[in-house]
Amino acid sequence: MAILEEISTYLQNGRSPKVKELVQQAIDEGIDPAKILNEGLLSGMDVIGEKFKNNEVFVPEVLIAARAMNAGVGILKPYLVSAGVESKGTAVIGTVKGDLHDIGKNLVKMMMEGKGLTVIDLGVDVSAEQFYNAAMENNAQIVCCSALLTTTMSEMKNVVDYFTEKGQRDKVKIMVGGAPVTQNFCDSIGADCYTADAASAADAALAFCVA
Amino acid sequence: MTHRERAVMALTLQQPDYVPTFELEYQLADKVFGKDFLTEEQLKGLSPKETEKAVKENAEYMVHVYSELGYSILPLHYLSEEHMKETARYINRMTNNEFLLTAHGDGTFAIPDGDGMLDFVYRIADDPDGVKEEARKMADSAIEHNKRLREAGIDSFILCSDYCFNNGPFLSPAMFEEFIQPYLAEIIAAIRADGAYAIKHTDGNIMPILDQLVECRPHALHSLDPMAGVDIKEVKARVGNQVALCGNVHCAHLQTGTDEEVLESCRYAMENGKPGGGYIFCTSNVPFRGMPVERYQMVLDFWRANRNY
Repeated sequence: MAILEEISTYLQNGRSPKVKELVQQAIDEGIDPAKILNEGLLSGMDVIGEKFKNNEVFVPEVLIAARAMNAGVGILKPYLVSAGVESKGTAVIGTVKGDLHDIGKNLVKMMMEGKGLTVIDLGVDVSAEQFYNAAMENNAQIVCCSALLTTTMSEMKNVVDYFTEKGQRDKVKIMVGGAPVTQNFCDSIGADCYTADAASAADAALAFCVA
Repeated sequence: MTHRERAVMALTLQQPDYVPTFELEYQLADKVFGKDFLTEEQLKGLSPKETEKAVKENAEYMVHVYSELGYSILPLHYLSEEHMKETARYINRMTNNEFLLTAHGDGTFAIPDGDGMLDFVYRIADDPDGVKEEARKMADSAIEHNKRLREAGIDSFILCSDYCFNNGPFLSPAMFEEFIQPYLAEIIAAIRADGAYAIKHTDGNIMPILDQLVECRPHALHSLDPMAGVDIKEVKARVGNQVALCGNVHCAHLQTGTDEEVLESCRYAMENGKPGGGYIFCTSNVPFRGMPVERYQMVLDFWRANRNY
């Protein structure tokens, strides 16, 4: 449908007012809200995510596209609710205890929202207990831990261990990321997934949720 | 050859008697030499006479510490502009201009922090002229600031706005060209016009904007961050005839790697940065607080054993 392609294209260009206008127009034309979401908005974010992975677009373009997506979702939300369209999954995200950096974490959050996931953002300096409580309260399938510092990334092990101590380790997939984090580190602490960039993290989270 | 002459030779792509070293900051002074460097905060409440004494003693301490470490470039930090200028005058007088003094001098947009990032990005999209106006003011302010420090005897500037993440630049090359490059070039041109030296630092993977950085004509590029995949061998081959190189010793290895990884990183940086001059051996960030002191000592020991041309 041409209008859904237009929504996708304008979203990729970060044109929030135009995306809002077109989403409203699509609703008025009687197009299924789930179709507008999946084939217009999320499809546009998919393209941006792929381009970001390939270094064809950069962080500002992603954030501006995410703003356009949120503008469109804002219009669409009441229609999605009344149509009974559900989130594709829930992730809890935060920067680990002792670390106040949130750029990477915010990017991952936006990319995950762009995949249709619900993301509970716990902010920075988040303890293992806070990750655990939020995951349980929101019935999350994914826990995402971010760290920028070599001195704080060891806190990620505490998160993994906390879920194990509580007997809930098999209920969630724990993802780790951030500048000093590596696949080896992920393996060594018993986390489930490491990705090197935000777009790949969103892909992996979606894959866990739909598996 | 004085340390100053050695640093200047390296910064101007010449080959000195040996590869010089320095760091943007040295945060291990407390652990290794018994106390931290003086901060402006510590001067609060002191009388003018007490302040003068403290600044002078700190200048002497800096010379002691950096002489022991073997640095050719001395970074001045943590003090107000006035006290930095006093410190510079003390050090230059005390050492007869033995060292090249350096201070922060950037005035371009760095990667914003989490709270400011969305605001900055939306402004780029919605009000690009406003962002450029702010960039203009920041650059003008930096140029004036650097001129004042230069007059006090600080003759090099570390331009430390970070532009890159591990996987590439924050801004696209096109945005970099619009919002950063002209202003960085102006700041550096003003430093050069004053007869001083510009060392452009940024963490992260600089490769997509390497040529744009070099077009701004810094004397040196600093960090060459191996954690972000920057390969000093490739950078030297591509732009080593236009800009001096500083760094590339893997900082994360110093914290969490093995001794072998530290030494291998030192070897790779020295082996590929040193040939033909134009190289200053240093870490890809700083010897930061909490780093095992023996690890940084390994870096210095390697440098002493392998620095000679």
